[in-house]
Amino acid sequence: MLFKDYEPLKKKQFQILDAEGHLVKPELEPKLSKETLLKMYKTMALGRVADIKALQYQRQGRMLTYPPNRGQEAAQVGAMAALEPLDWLSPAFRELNAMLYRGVKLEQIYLYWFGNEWGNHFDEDVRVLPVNVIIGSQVNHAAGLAYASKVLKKNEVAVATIGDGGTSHGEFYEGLNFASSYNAPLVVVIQNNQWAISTPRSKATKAETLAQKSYAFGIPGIQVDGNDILAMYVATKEAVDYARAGNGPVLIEAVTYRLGAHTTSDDPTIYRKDEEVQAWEKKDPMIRFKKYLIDKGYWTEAEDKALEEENNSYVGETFKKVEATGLETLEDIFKYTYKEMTPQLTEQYEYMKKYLEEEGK
Amino acid sequence: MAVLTLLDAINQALDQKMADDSRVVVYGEDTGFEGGVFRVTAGLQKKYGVDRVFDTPIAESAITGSAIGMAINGLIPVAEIQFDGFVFPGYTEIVTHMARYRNRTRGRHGLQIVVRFPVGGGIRALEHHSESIETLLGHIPGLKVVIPSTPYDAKGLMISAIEDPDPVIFMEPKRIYRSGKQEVPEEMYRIPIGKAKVVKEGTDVTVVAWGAFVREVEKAIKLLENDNINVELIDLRTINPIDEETILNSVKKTGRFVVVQEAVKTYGPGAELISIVNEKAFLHLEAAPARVTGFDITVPLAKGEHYHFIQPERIAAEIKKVAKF
Amino acid sequence: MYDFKFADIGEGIHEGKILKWFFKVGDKVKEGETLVIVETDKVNAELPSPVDGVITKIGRAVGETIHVGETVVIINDGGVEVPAVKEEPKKEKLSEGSSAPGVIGEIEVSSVVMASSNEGVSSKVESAPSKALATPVARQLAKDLGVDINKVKGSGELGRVMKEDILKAASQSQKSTPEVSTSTPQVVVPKVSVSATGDVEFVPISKLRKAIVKNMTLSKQIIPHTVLMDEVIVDKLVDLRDKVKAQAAAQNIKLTYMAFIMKAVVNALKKFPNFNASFDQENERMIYKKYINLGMAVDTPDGLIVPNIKNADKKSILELAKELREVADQTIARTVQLAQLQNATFSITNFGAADVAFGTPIIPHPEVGILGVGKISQKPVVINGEIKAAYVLPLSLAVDHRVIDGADAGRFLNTIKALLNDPMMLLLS
Repeated sequence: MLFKDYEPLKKKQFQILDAEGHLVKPELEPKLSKETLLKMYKTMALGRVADIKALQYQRQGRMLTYPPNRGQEAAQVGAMAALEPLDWLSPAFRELNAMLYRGVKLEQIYLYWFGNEWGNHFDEDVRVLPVNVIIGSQVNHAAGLAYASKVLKKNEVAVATIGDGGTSHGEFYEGLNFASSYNAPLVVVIQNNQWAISTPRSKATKAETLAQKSYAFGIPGIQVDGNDILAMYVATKEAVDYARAGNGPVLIEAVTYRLGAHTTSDDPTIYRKDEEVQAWEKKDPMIRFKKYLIDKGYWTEAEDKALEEENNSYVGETFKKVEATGLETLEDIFKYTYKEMTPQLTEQYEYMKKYLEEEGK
Repeated sequence: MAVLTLLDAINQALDQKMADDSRVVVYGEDTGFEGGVFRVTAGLQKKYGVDRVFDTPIAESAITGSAIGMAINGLIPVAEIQFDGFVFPGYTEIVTHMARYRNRTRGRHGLQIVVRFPVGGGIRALEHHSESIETLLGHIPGLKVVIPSTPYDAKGLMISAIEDPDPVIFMEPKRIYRSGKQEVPEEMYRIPIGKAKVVKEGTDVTVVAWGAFVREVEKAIKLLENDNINVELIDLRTINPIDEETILNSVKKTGRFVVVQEAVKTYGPGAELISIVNEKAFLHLEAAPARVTGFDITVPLAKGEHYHFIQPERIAAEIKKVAKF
Repeated sequence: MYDFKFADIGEGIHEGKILKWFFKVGDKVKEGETLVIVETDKVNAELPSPVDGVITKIGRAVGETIHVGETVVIINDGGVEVPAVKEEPKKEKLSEGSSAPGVIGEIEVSSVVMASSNEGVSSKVESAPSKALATPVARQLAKDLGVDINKVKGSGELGRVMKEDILKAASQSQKSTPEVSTSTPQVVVPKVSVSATGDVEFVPISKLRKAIVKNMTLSKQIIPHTVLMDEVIVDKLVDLRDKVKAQAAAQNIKLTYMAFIMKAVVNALKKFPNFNASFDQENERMIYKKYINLGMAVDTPDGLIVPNIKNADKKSILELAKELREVADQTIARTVQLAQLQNATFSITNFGAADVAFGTPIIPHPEVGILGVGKISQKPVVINGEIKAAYVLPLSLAVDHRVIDGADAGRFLNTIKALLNDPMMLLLS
């Protein structure tokens, strides 16, 4: 059993596909269809392009603060691939790829970072909560989703993602403890990208691994090579099945790396060494996954190149659309405070509307 | 018709709504098995089971934070915080998420949640058990905040709160939990949120109070019987959104305005109400509006509390000042 | 003596049953030793002694019920009777004697039934008397002027009562008292102390008197008065009046000498416009009035009031006589309108009515002169070296010496004298 073999205090990191793309644990290779594998890869590729271009737009003054995801694609997509459509994702804010995989449109993601709340208004069947800026809250929210699922017998699993820095937060602890005490179907995936802005992982906690915090809740934990998409898939699948069966939550630590800055307003060269970054570049999840797919005969370099071009133009068009149509209306900033506007809000809105009209705006 | 205490009226409201709507769940610290330290939720777990009425670990952020997930995924959570002073560990979730979720998602996820807790002092309690935090919650866009002063209102407001599509903070004035009973109709009924009530009509001065202090003002009014001052007393009932219409109609009639609040004076609800009166009834005023408030101090422990808890005599004196100006 | 009472130990109990006593009267006990076991709903409570001492009284015996607040035991601890610590003066009486579950604090429990809710019962909207819309500043002004603001028609937006409305109302109101309209310098009036030298009676002054106090003080403070006095022989005037009296009476007009005097004064004022003016000290200018409103001092039962005859220069002697009578009557009856009391340009006061010849009248501010008219009486006069009896009219002219010099005053007075001495001139002017 995976959780027994990789119990955190055994200090073994779960890996199936190594950095060079070799199957080190072929017996654990998941039986995924070509279709699914390509969906996973294409999502990551799109995410990477969207990520790079977002940074470019920001430097051009066309996009606001944006948190790059580069390097963490496998940790996100590998986990999401293990979910059923009716399962939930309760993200932090660095889950571009995870959200794309689960059906959030790139346009919406861009719209949000562009500065428009409509970017958080996902379709009915998209079971993803909006980007969460308050560190740790997403775990409590997911605990609530999980509890409801259990009590209403809906068979859903709620997955919350959180960073290494986030595991220091009270809400991480309270949320997992809460869900554990009811055996609610919650899975928490820590995207341990080694850095919380400028704070290295070692300063976030004295614990040697983040996975071992699972002991505090009385639940299974496992540390996974986060850049190994196959291992992420397998570990998450096992965790989700475990939770769905009513056994309670699981804590997964995905060891990965934040190749970019914390956000577009951050300069990581101040606090970390280039050698470190270069070392992790070699472990880029895209490299090994591409090799794996090509080895399997599912993919070619030519297709890869074509995909990149396709993504470039798609992302470009998408952003242009957002730029052209993404402005807010006066009414919208008032209208959604409550289901129905209170008399005060109506009065304030009417006042502002009149004021702007008189100003000729 | 049953004659109930305020506490029992809340219990009945919860009971009836739980029977009426299977999505309603009630939970908090000691809320399930014991029925809450004040017994507000007594008997509910037996009736509706452990899944719907349950005890939580001591984790206020989980209590309020999980309510959000529950509300999104098909439940109507009625989350209890054990005492006013302990709202703060759960305050983050209330302010940064619960209040804003509808706005953040442009209506995709409105949250139908009730957060309830006992408030107010005058009970010689430990620290953090006598707070009045209307401002800290009423100031937050996206929240509704209510506080009943009678058993009848408590039931009606609780039912409305549970049914309201927005998050409602339900404050229970603990001092009057069991102080007195009132006829409470057997069937479910609603008191609209956002509607104050004229408890006593009058012509000379408008006095607004809420929660435990409605009774204190009533005592003050009795003390003024010989002074020929005819007070119009309004029970605010909803802290946010404020029922401006009822207040203004009254002030336009009387020309004089007093707010009585247990809460700290500076930046308290009285300031807001007086601002409204100044903005919209200035020309009707015959005297400056006044507020009778707690002091800008931490609520004293038992031995000092009597200095702080506003006595009817002080209320009467302040009303008289305004009436005689 | 220590009176150890059965306390509410906070478990929701309000009474208990004595199960076992460990001591009896006369025993010595140490602080902390268990005195008794009391059985309650929740627990069997052991009550430890609060002090060292000797038991002098047992409250309840084994098997008996003890209520919260009752004495468990009295112990002679050798100390002074300690009065109960006076803490909260108004301790909430917990009516059922105990606290209910709540973990912390003391929640009152009471079964008092309050009135049922009247939710939804449409309130009989008490239509309040219509009240004025006004700012606090306007309200204060109304108060100061003695105007009921709720009766003032507002000219502002939404019927708001503005300052002008209040001022207008103040000038139109009935039964008002003469006002000093200009701002006056304040004089610090020394306090009047009444030493206990004899019997005194305190009588508050009337509103009218208050106004007179104000006016007189002001005039005397501001205006440097100078008074010229003289007599004029009025035999011809007396004759004329005798002749014309009856005809006037036929028109229901009582023709008094005052009417003639008024005419003479009007004449003089036309000749000497600086007597029919005001001195605007602040702006250092004279304000010449193109109309002549003659103020006529009237003695009323309540005090002196000075209404004025408007546009006296446009009225004949008969008209002046008639109007004087009417206005005087109204003034005495206190039905005179405020406007009649305002805006006099020159005044006349009748000492003769008090049977007096000369005086030093006080000029009503902001006028610059006042003529005091004394009693007409027969006196010996010297005409062409001979002593004769003649009717003599004493005149006292007070002027504002800031703007009217003695010579001017003399000329003015002589003009009047000439006209009254030979009334034919009056008819020609």
